[in-house]
Amino acid sequence: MAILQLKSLSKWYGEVIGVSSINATIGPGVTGLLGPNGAGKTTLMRLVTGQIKADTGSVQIDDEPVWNNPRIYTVLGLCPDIESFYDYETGLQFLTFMARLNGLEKTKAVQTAWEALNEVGLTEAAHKRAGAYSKGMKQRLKFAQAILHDPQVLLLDEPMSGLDPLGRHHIVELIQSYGRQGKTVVVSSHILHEVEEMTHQIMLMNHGLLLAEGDVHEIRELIEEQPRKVQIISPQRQQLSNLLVRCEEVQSIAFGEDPEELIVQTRAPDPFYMHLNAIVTEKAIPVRQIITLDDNLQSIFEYLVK
Amino acid sequence: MPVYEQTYKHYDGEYRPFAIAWMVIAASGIKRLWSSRGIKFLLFVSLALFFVNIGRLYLAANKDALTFFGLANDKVQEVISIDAKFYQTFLYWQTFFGFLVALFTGSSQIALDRRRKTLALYLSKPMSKLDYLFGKAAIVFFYLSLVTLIPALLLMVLYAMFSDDWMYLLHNLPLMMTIISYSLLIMIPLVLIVLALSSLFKSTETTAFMFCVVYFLPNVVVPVMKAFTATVINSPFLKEGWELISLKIIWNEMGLMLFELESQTMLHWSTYGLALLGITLGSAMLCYARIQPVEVVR
Amino acid sequence: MQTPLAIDIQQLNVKLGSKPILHDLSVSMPPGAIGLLGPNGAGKSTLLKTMMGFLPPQSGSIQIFGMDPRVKGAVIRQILGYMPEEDTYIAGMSAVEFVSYCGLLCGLPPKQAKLRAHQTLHYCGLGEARYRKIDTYSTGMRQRIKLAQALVHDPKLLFLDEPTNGLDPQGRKDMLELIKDISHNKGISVILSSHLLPDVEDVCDSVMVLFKGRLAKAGKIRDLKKLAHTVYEVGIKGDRKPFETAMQPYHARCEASKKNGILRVLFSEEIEPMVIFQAAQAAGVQIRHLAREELTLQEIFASAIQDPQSPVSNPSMQ
Repeated sequence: MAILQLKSLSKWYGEVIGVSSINATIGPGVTGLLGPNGAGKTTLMRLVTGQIKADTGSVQIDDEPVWNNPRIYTVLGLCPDIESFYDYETGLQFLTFMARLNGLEKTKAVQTAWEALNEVGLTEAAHKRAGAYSKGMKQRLKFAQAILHDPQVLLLDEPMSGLDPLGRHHIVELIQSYGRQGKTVVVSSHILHEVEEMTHQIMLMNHGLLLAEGDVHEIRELIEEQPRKVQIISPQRQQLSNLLVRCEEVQSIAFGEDPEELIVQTRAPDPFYMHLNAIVTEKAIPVRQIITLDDNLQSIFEYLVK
Repeated sequence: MPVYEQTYKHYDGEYRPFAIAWMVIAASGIKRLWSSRGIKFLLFVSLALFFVNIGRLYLAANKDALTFFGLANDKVQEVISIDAKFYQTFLYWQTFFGFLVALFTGSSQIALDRRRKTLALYLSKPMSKLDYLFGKAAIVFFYLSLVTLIPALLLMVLYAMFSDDWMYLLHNLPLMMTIISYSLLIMIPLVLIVLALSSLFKSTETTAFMFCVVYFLPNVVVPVMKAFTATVINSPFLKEGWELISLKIIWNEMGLMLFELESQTMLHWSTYGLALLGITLGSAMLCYARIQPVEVVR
Repeated sequence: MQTPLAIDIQQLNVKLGSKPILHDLSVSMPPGAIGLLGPNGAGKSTLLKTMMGFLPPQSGSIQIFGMDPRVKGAVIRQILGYMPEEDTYIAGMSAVEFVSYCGLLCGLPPKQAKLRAHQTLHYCGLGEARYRKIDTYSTGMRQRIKLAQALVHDPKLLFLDEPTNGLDPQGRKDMLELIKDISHNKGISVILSSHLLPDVEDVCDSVMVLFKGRLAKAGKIRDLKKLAHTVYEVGIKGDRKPFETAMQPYHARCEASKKNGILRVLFSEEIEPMVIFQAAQAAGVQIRHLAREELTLQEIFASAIQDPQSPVSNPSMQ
């Protein structure tokens, strides 16, 4: 179990701010790091892995500072967003070399390299030059390198980019299993569906600032200025809307594109759902579907990133 | 009073025939090169000989001017007289500038398209590989003609003008035809060789370097190998055969043949002609084979 | 057949060099938004290139809007817009120059090419940046310009290869909105090849899954998603126990689903969801989510490529 702590962390590049006084505590499990391009995610990853020095604040793993502390690399693994291996080396050679750097002796290093290749499903390409790998294979190799020494803290910068659906699914499952094992995993990704599949814990960044941190649904609860949008599919949407419009917690009702679709906005979900249930059962109005339209990552992203 | 939506609009006009695609490529390529300062400078330098020759034409056409300079003797008259040799020499000298222009305008043509993967984009439009190749060739061809064919023909026109004898052009129609054919023999191989190299390598620099090798290396190799062969086998044909790898020598011999001038060589002109044809066709086939819409999969 | 099929392929075999890539592929698709899925090496790009007339098929027939690419390659490429996966543009050109150049290459007259370049760039959201050199564009803008160059000559069919690569969530949403508008409101058919299944699910009406050069599944997404049995996903706020008890008289079984806080309610027979509301009313809990369980595209995809031997139920959709 490792706890990652960011204390008033900032980083500038000249006049440009990369990361702006971020405070956060990231515990075991998977955390999704989200934000538009240029939000500062990669800078944050580099700060956390001690690749660059913070201008203010510090990063600590279990109370040990990350910066200028080689020992930290035994517990830290990084899958960077750029390619970081030689084209002429085979996948196996590269991983064996990395394992040797981690202090393993030759045979053990080779064994560890094979295990990592196996884990990411790259055994068949072990003896191929990395330069001849496809984009997806390179991505897997980077991933293998990150998990090589079985670190407690894993930072993954867009680990699924370029992978086909099988590869993505495979990596998502791997990440989930690391999370269940109690490792601290931070994943940055633009594919919100996949993040939702992996975790409910997110960190949302924009312009170098941390906008929100925590459970997706809890964050949604906190965004009070946005009423809940509920989609109801009913063959009798006219009657249903006539009845719903009388409930005072209903803020607005709109007819959707689908001839049976009704979109209701409310700020008080509890009484609304109680009323809805009562109306449906008492007036016998068939309802086929109820979906909250904005209790998902995409909506939170849109509400918070402006 | 309609309200217009600012959105995607369908096109209901006519499309032009597919056959114009190469002209679009050529026009755009020529225009874009023209906007670079390098090409203007190169053209200016390449036409230095042309400007010098204008002076010579003027003197040849105006005996008074010669007298004015006190040069009106037979020897000078003979040197500056305007005959087939004059045009052949001019064009032969221009081959070097032709090489430079082809190097400057041709090296990047296909190389960049392959490196930036624009080739697939081109070929996804309604055009064939040949249209593409034709368009690219036309760009190089255009600039090459500016330093070979066009100035050579201009020299004829200027001579007619200076000597106030427009019948000169009519009387020398065969010479004009020879100039055109000789220019084509210079331009077409240059265009195809540079495009073939450009299709072989993905970098402009490599292409340019290889083009220099193809052009200059025979200058060194030919004399060395001729001397070497002579020491091994006593066969004049094998010895002279080395000349067939040198574009410069080939062009010279072809020029002498076309302009009906005397040649010193032991080989028949048709040997050089066949060599040039071989190089040209080889380059053309290489280009055609290398321009593929489908990248070989890993 | 009222409308011509966008794609009609029968028993198609295609080789790349000496390597067979597509085997006995038969599939037909009506116009609309079509997703083209498959793992790497499944033959997706080979199929696209065969449709563009770049690769001659060994055997079989292929028709794009009733035209054979072997005979009418250029005509097909004129009614077709291709957005490649790679970042391709001509260095040193501004967006307007580049897009109108592409229009000219497709046969638009010069004035029309310029006019449509401006219109298309506006439509693709690059109006403000259209005089800038493409070299200075961001990833998101480069994706948009690739779309613009594919649209400028008003094609009937668009091939989009990974159009959302490298885009952030907002950029991705905008791009998908554009593709949806093109395919659903502008009458341009779209073939969307993507590794991101949610994108395909969001935009496409039908889908074809390739695996090892064969057709693994094809059909309307709506039909493929349907399950044979009756299962509802129910999100409850309140105590689960009384709700489950109240559901018992309806021969329903409740179990936790993989999704957080969602209950799967399995019925032994087709039944109106009204009973779920009644049970909730009786148990005094709120129903916060109710939807009939469907297969996700991820599940459809996984099942399609796990069992490639299984006969394809209905490759033709007419």
